[in-house]
Amino acid sequence: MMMNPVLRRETKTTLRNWKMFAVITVYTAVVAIGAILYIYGSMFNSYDYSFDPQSMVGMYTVLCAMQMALMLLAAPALTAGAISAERERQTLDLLLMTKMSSFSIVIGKLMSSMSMLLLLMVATLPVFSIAFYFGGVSLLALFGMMLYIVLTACMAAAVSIFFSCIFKKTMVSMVVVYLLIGGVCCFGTLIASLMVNSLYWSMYQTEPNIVLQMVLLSPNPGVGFFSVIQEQMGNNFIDMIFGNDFNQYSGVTAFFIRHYWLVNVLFDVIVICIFVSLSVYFLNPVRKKK
Amino acid sequence: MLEIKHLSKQYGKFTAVDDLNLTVPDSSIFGFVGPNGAGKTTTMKIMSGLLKASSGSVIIDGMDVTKNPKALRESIGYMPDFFGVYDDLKVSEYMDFYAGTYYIAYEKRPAMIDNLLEIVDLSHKKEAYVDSLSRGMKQRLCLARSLIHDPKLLILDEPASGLDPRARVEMKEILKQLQMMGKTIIISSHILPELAEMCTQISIIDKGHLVVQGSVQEIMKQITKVRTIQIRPLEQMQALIKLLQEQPLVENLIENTFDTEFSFQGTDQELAMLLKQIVLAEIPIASFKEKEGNLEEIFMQVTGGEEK
Repeated sequence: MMMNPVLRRETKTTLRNWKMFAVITVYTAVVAIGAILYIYGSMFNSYDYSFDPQSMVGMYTVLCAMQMALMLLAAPALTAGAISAERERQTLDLLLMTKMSSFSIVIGKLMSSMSMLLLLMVATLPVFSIAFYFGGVSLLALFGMMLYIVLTACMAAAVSIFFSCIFKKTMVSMVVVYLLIGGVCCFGTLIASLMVNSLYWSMYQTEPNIVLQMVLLSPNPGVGFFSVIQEQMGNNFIDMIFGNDFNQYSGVTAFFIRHYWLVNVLFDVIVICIFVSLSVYFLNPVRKKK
Repeated sequence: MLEIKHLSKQYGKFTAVDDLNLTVPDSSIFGFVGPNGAGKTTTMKIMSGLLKASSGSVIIDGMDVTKNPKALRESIGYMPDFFGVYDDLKVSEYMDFYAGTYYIAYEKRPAMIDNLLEIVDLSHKKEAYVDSLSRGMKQRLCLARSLIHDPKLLILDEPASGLDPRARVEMKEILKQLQMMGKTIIISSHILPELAEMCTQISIIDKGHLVVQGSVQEIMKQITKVRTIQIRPLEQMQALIKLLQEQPLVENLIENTFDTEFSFQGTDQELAMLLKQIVLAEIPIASFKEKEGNLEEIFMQVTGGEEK
């Protein structure tokens, strides 16, 4: 089977470039510094200034949160120029003239970015290994968390490729993606959820419908992330977000509250499908109105 | 090979190509000439399936490009007027990448790349980074790229622009070689003389309209209806002048130091009769020829003097 030519070329040129190694070094260093600071912090705060292996569970949460945030920052940076850079370099027409379909080009670009992100994640595994060396975190849990982060990063990458198709300048598409992912998905949904909550309390003196809140927060990767952490670590992040009386719900609603990350996963999959399809549509030169 | 029927392209209220009709025969080098902004690039992009026509059709090998552009990608090799290269690739890797985009099997690629680089005389640069190539070399590399899938039709948008005279000559030689290999080549330029000597057919477009089409000689005949004849006698210049002054079809007679020029309004047969009369008058003739028109002047004339 032939490897996607775009993926093959980009992998080759990226790995040949010293910049990628610099990025891997800086990325791993940031995560490692986070781990060191956490260990020092927990020792400093302990009763007898000693190291408590139980705190490693907390370190796992911190490292995963760092990984998630860094991935959401790195994904648009790596993909926002996927198509617009080809346009700026005047190689897009040559690529569109080949036998490759627009779908293959978009998928090649997406896979190329994802492979770089995976490389960054794999590079930080030694740091994560500290957490499960002391126990409390299983390899399966780590693998599950990594999958969730990869899917979220893939969603951000798919959105970035779409904006890269419609905007001529890489910088413009990057700014729009950061505003959309950071501003709308992360903070916008939280603010909207809080506003709906306070509106319901002021109008009906009750909490809003849980399904409405779940839908509102479905684009928020942070809520999904804490849902995964809750399931793995047994804490109550999601209970705090959706209120304390969620136990009143049963059936499908209760299932999705307990496994809220599934709602985010579903949202991510739908967004990936929609934005990849839109990218394919807009990349097709004879469909585009000029 | 290629037939364009009533092709039009509008950008809002601006008409870039207006009811264009063309026919390009097999294995020919077809020159597409026009001033900047005449609609050459737009037409070529529509031919290549990179742009949607507002109306009309482009038929290549019996298939309509406007209806099924993807199906014809294998038959077309396209070289745009402005193109970029992946600077971080070596020449062989660059070719390998494009071979991949046409899904050519890995094992077939090395021989194919060697062969194409030889055609464009870049074999010695195979392991060089594309970034290190000169402009002329990059143009040749782009030409080799457009040949990677062995297309029947090559669409080259101003391939010689920005090249020095030596690189232009090299490019012409490569194109002649490709024609001999059976390729049909459509080549655009805004400089008519650049294409005149190598093209079998030429069409001149201006403001989206086809102005004239045919061989260089036919176009010149169409435009310069009166032929200029130049005669250089060995001696008896005055006798020749007198004889020519008596001819009703001869006008604007000019006597130069060593030859004479005049406008002749007759047919080829009448021109042959004139030569016969001169020979019968025993005037020794060293040279008798039809003077070629100035291509630049012709171009300026048909395009309304808008060459830039």
